[in-house]
Amino acid sequence: MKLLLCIGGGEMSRDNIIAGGKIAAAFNADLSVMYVGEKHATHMTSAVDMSRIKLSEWKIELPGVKVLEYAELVLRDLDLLEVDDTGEIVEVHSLKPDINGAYELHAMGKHGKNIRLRLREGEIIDEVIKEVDVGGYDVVIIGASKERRLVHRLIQFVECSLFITNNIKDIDYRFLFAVDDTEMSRKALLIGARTAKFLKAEATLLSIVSNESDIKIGEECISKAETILQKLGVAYDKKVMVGDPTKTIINEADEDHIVVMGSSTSSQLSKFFKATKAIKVVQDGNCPVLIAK
Amino acid sequence: MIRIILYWIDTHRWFITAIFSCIVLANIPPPEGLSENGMDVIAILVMSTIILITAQVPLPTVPLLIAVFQVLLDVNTPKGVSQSFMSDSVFFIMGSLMLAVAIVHQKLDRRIAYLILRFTKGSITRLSTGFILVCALMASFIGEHTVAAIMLPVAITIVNNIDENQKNIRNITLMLMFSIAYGCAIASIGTPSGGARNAVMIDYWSRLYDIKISYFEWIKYAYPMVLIQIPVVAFLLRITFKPENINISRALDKLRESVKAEGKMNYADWLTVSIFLFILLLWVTSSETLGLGIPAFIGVSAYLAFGLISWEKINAGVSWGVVLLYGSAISLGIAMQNTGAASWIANALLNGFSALHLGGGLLLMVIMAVITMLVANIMSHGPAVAVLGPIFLEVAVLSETSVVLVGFIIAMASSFTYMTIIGSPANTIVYGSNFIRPQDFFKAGWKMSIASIIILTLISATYWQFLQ
Repeated sequence: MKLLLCIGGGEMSRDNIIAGGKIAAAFNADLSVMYVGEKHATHMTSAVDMSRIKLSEWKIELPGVKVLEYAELVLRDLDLLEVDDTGEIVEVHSLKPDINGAYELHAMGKHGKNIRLRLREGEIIDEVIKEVDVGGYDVVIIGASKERRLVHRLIQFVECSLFITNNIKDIDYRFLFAVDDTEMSRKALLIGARTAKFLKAEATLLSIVSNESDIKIGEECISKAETILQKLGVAYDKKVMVGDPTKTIINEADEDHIVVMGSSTSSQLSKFFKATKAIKVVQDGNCPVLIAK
Repeated sequence: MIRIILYWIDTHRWFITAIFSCIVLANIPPPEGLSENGMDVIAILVMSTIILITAQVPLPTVPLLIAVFQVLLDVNTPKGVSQSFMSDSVFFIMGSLMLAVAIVHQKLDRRIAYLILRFTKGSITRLSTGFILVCALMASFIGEHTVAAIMLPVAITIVNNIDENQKNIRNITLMLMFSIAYGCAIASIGTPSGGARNAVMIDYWSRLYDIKISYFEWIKYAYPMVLIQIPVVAFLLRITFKPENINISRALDKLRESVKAEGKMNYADWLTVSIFLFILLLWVTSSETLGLGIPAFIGVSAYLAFGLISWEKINAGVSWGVVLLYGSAISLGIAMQNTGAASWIANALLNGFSALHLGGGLLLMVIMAVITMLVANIMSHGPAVAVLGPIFLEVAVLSETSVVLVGFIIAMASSFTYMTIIGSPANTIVYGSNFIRPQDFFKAGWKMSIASIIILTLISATYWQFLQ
C-alpha cells in the first residue's frame, strides 16, 4: 500500500504528519510526504531559476526544504524512520531534483518500507493530481481547503481514496461509517475498519434513508457492514436514521468523529456540475473525512 | 477519458473563455467609429489579456496566438506579422537577457557584498540603504531580475547570520528583502536597459510616431527619478518595518570574513566588468547609429568568445518566451495603431474622462500614471506597458499632450509595482525566499505608491517641462 501525505508549511502540519504517520504504520505502508511550494507566474520562471542558481552557489537551501526537514523530524519522533548505529537516518538517496517531477529525499522506514519526502511547486490540487498519476498511491492524506472549488476539484479529479484531515486534532476519535449498498461504501468500510483497529478506536455504523418505509433497507446495509467490524474486532454501535444524508452525517460526526464514506457513484459529468455528498460533508462539516474510491 | 477531458476543461476554463471571447468579439458588428479590423485587434487584445492574467497556459502561447489570430482574422499578412515581431528593440531585449545570464554566472556577488559591508559598519539602516543604493545603481543598467538574483543570497546570508530564528528579526528581514525589491523597482526605469518594457516604449515612439529617443536622452529624462526615490525608499522602509534592536556587527563580520576569502578580483571578473562598461559606452554614445540591440550583441559575442559563459548556459537561462512576448506586444501595438483601434479606445477614454470632469494636461497624466501603476501590479509591468502603451500614447495625441512625456509617464509608472508579488520579477524573486508574506507587500507598498506618484507628478510638471 502507498500513502501520500500532503503537508503545508510550519508547525501547523504537525498533527497532519502524526495522523499520516500513524495510518502508514497501521497499514505497514510506503509513505510519501509532499510539500507543494507556491506557484510563480510562467513569465517569471527564468528570473526565479536565475535566483536559484545564485542561492545554490551560496549554499542556501531551496524554499520548501525546511518544511521537509521538519516533516522528517516528526516522522523520526514517531519512530517511523530507520536509523543506523550512529543515529543517522538511513537514506536511499539524499535530496535530488527531477525524481518523477519533484525534488525527493528517499529514506528507509522501519520494517523496510519506503519513506519519501517530496517537494513540488505549483497549484496544490494540480500537483496532487500529477503526483497521484506518477506515484500510484492508494490513499492521499490532505488538509481541507476553505474554497469549495478546490475541495470539489480534489474529490473529483484525484484518482485514489482521500483522507481529508479537516480540523484534525490530537484526540481519540471515533469512526463514523456512513454505509449504503454500494461497492465504494464497502471499500471505505474496509480501509476505515483497519485504521480503527490499529488506533483502537470505537466506531458507529450509520445508515441514512430518505423515509420511514426504507428503514429495512438501511438495516440490511448495517448488518452487512457489521460482519467486517466484528471480524476485525472493532467495537461499534449502530444507527439507522431518516433524513438528509449530508446534514445527518455532519450532525452525528460533530468534531470528534472521523467520517468514512464511499465516493459518489454519479457520472463524471454530473459530478463536474454538482457537488456530491462527500464534498458537502467536507465543506460544511468540521471533522476529518475518509472518502474511498 | 471523460475525466481527462473534464480536467482539461477545468484547468483551462479561462483559456477557453479567452479564445471564445476573441471569436465572439471578432464576429459582432463593430461599434460606430471602429473599423472591422480594429474590432478584430481589440478581440485579440482581450484574449491576450485574459490569458496573461489567468496564466492557465504557458506564457509563449500568448505571442504565438497573437501572431496566429492576426493572420486568421485578416488583420495582417503572414509576412507583415513576422516583420512586425522583429525590431531593434526586440534585438535589444534578447541581447539584454543574454547579458544578464552572462553576468549572473560570474562571481561578482561576493565582491558586491564586500562593498556594501564596508559601507554599513554595523548599522541596519545603513545596511538597508546600501542594498537600495547598490540595487538601484546596478538595476538601472543590467535589469532588475539580474540584480535581485545576485543580491538575494547576500541578504539571506546576513539574515541567517544575525539569528536563525526568523521570528526574532522579522522586521530586519523584511527591511532587507524590500530594500532589494524596491531598490530594483525604482531603478528599472533609469535607462533603456533597466527593463524590457523601456525598449518597447522606445519602439512604440519610433514605429508609431517616428520619434527617436537615444539611450542618453532616456537617462536625461528618467535618471533623476531614480536618484530622488533612493532616499524615499530607505526612509519609508525604515518607518514601516521598524528594525529590532539587535547588534548585527558580528553577523556582518562573519560574512565579511567569508567574502574576503574569495581574494581579489581576478582576470575573469575584470573582463566581465570591462566588457559591460564597453557596451554601456556604446549604448550611451552610439545608440543613434548602432541602435540598442547591436551593442548588446557585441557584448554577448565577447562574453562567449572569451569563454566567460557557454552558449548552453545562455540558452538555458534566457526566457525566449519573454522575447517572443515583447515581440508580439510591439506587433499588436502596431496593429492597434494601423487599424484605428488604439485611437478608438483613446477617444472613448477621453470622453469618459471629460464626462467625469477629469480634463486634460497634468491631471490626465496623473490618471494615466495611476491606471498604469494599478494594471502593472495586477498583470506585471511589461505586459502593462505593452497593453496600455499604444492606447495612452494615442490619448496623448488626441488631447494634444506630448507623446514623449506620456510615454515616459507610462514607463515610469509601470515600475511602481510595490504592492504585489506578480508586479515585477524582483518581487517574485524576494517572495520566493519564503521570508515574506503576500500582505507584507501592501504594508510598505501603498506608501511607496503614493510617494512615487507624487514625485512623478512633480518631475513631469517641472523638470520635464524644462527638457522639452
